[in-house]
Order: sequence, then structure tokens, then C-alpha cells
Amino acid sequence: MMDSKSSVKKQKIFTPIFLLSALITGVFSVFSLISPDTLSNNMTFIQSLFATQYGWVAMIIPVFCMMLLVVLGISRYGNIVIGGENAKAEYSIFSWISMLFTASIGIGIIYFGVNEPIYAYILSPASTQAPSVMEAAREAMGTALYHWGVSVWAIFSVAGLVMAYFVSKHKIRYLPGDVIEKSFGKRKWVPITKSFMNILAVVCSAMTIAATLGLGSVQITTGMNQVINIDNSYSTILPYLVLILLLIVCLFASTTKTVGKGMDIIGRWNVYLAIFMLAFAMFFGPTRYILNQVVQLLGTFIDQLIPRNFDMFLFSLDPTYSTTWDVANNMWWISWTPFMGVFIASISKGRTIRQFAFTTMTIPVIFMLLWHAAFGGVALLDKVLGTGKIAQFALENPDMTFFAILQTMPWPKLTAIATIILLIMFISTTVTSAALSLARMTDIEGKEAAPVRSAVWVILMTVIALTGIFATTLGGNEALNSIKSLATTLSYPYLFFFILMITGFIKQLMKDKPPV
Amino acid sequence: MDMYYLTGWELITEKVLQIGMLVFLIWNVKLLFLEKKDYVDGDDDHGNEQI
Repeated sequence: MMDSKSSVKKQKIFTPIFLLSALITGVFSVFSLISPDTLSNNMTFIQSLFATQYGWVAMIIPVFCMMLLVVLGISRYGNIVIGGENAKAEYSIFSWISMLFTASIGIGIIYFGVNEPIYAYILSPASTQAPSVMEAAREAMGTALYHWGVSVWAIFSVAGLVMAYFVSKHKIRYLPGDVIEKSFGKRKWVPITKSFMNILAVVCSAMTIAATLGLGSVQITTGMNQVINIDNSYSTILPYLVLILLLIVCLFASTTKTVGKGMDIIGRWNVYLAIFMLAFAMFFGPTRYILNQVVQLLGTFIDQLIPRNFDMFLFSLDPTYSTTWDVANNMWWISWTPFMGVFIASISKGRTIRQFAFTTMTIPVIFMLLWHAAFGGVALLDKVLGTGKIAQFALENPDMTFFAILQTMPWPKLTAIATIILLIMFISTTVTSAALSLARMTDIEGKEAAPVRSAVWVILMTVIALTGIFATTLGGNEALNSIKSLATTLSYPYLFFFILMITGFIKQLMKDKPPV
Repeated sequence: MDMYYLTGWELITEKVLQIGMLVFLIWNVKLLFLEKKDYVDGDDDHGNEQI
């Protein structure tokens, strides 16, 4: 009797989808350790092939997501409440946005966010072929905001909205493939598509978060080296220690019973700290320049909102720029959608479609505009009119750029410590929310995020990040980037499913004809 | 200009991938607008469970 009970329990935790997706993820991670160069080369080849061929689709998807959200938001469908007409919101708007932000692009704003204007200034044809320095700098800021602005949030918002709608209204499991099953029913291609999509969604999410975890750990190490002068013999093991610290935090966060409340609190404090850092930079940095930059960037953003989303840089001196940057950027965010969709669905009860549409496309974008003006803007100022030292970091040691900007302001050690805390909290919330989403997605009923399964996902993602850091440290190669490359490559087949999922959503909305 | 005029396997790959995507998008439009309702319904609840 005991045996049968325990075997039922065991079966519930280690479901077939969990075992299969964990196995595939594990195989990739072992491969990335044994032969990171081979993996990196193969993935880069496949990624480049798809990015070149499907660049136009990757560019049009965010536009379509934006249009869909606006149409839904202003139509009667905007009144639909996730979870039913009388559903009460579990989290305030601020908490909701904070969790969305910290679970997704939070970590990236410190790493890539500050480097982007420099990269755009040096590489983007919009800047390199601009008639003047003034125009080049303006375009560079616009490109940075484009990569982190409305298009990203439109993709996330649609992914979350689709999952939230189907989970709350049609009681499907927290699995993207189940959206297809519900929408398209008894067609012959549905079962295989659903299974393939679910496994791909899990593997894609795990690899994406593992790469983010690894890159984030390296940046925390860089920050720590800034604050305390660590002996060379210790500096090599520091990334591992950071990763183990993150592992402990994430294990605790993802297995504790009051996880929703914990995520809510951490999410809010993350955003408080980020707002504090932003206010600090605006006050102690070149305040007048930053405010001027805010105004100019807002104008650039409004001016470029439509044309920039369609710009493929045809006939420029570097027609591959679109593929290497804009397309890769959109695909990177699409690789986040399987887990972001599930995570957003799990925290969005009581929100209306109108809130999905307009809140997600405005508040985070305003924050990003201010962030880019304050940090990326200062980096660009140094590149164009200053010493160029910060830009040098962006090119040679991008982990260091944010800390280099802080060094131009008072109390750099204190702000570096605040940044390290911010990074640790951002990574922890991203990994925890991903682990919870993965645990839900690999549940037999697709509902429950069992603590054991969440813990296994945290450990698995940490192992992948660990192997990435290990291989990078050993051979000086780009193992972590090969994992990132793999995640982006996997997002190309997922692109088809994402399109199919949106089709299913629209079809279901037309079929449901909700009385609103 | 050469980058848009491929030859050999590169050309075949490009045509297969591009036509594949276009067919896929057209198929999505068909699924959305050109299907009979009885074939569309996947289960018996017709999606009016909650709202």
C-alpha cells in the first residue's frame, strides 16, 4: 500500500515531459562542457541561417503583437477580466509590473542596457552612415531603446495574455501546447504539434535562463572585484561561489510555501532599488544632460516608433546589421516567451485585457527610457565628447561598463554594492520564476509547481550555467555565449508555434464571443 | 548584390525556407477564417465556461 502510494507520488513529480525535457536539456549542457566550440559553431551556423532567412518574420512579429494588443485594448474585448468577471486582482498594478519586470528584462538592463547605445553608435548603419555625429548619437540612443522597449513588452504581453486567457477561461494546463489543443481540437496534426511544442518550450526556457544565470554570475563577480580587491587565486573561484550563493537563494525561494508573496516582495524591492539607482544617477550624474537626453530620446522614440520596427537596413553598408542585432534581439526575447507566458498567466488573475495591452506597453517603456538616458546616455556622452574609456569597457569587458559609469559618480563602492545586490535579486527572481514556471509546465496536470520539481529545475539550470562558466574559464572560449546561442536557435522552431498560438488565440476569441 | 542571388544548395535552402514560411502563414490565415465551425470545435464546451 505504502509502495503504491509512494510510486504514485513519485510518478507525479517525475512526469514523462519532465524527464524527457530534463534529459534533452542535460544532454545539451554536457555537450556545451565537452565541446563548447563545436556547439557554438554549429549553433551559430544554424542561427545565422535562420536569422538571415527569417529576419523579416522576426521583425514583423513584434509589430503584429503591438497591433493585436492595441486592437484588443480599444475594442470590447479589452473589458475581459482574466479569471472571470468578478475575479479580484491578487497583486497591485505596481507589484504586477514589478514582477513582470524583474522576472524578465531586469537582469539585462545592467548588462546589455548600458552597452547598447555604444554598440549601436559603432555598428548600426543608422549611426555609422549618419550625416553628422549629432544624428549618429541620436540614432544610437533610439536603437538602444528599440531593443529594450515596446517590441519586447508587446511580445511578452501577448505570450502572457494568451496563456492567462486559456488557463483562466478554458482551464487548460500551464502549457503552451495546450493552447493549440484547445483552439484547434481534433485535427490530426494537433497531438504531435502539442507534444513537440511543450517539450521545446521547456528546453528553450531552461537554456535561456541558464545562459542568463551564467552571464549574470560573471557580472556579479566583476562587481565584487570592484568592491573588494580579491587575490588572483581566489578570483577564479569567485564565479562559482556566486553561483552557489544564487543556487541557495533560488532553491529557498522556489520551494518555500509562500512563494507568491515572496516573489511579490522581492519584485517590489528590486524595483525600489532600481528606481533608487536611477534617481541617484540622475542627481549625481550630469543631471542637465540626462534630462535633455530624456526629452530627446522621447522624441526619437515617438519619431521612430513605426519606421524603426520595419527597418531592415537594405542598401546600407552593413546589410547584415539587422540580422545580427535587431533580429537576434527579437528572437532572444521570443525564446523567453514560453516561461514568461506561463509566469505572467500565473500572476495576472483579475487583470483586464486592456491593462495587459496598455500597462505593459507604457510603464516599463517609460522606465527603460529614463534608464537608457541616465546610464547608456552617459556612456554615449563619454564616447562622443569624453575620454572614450567607458566605451572601451563596452567593447572589451562589457561586464564592467555599468560599474565604470558608477565610478564617474560619488561613492562608487557603495553604489557598486547596491548594484551587486540588485543583480543578485534580479537573477534570483528570474531563475525562481522560471523554475516555478518549468515545474508547472512539467506537472502531469500542468497546474502545480511541486517544490521538488522546482528545485530540480533550479539545480539543472545552475549546472548548465556552471559548466558554461567552467568551460569559459578553462579555455577562454565562449561557452556561455554558446548556450545563449543555443537558446536563440531553439527559438526559431518555437517561432512557428508562437504564430500558431496567436492564431489559436484570435480564433478562440472569435469563437467565444464573450458578452462584454 | 551577390548575397541576394544565391546558387546551389544555398539557393535551394532559401527557397524551401521562404516558401515554407509563406505557406505556413497562409495556412494560419486559412485556419483563422476559412474553416467550417463543426470541424473547428475541439471539445464540447464551446469555450463559454467562465466569462
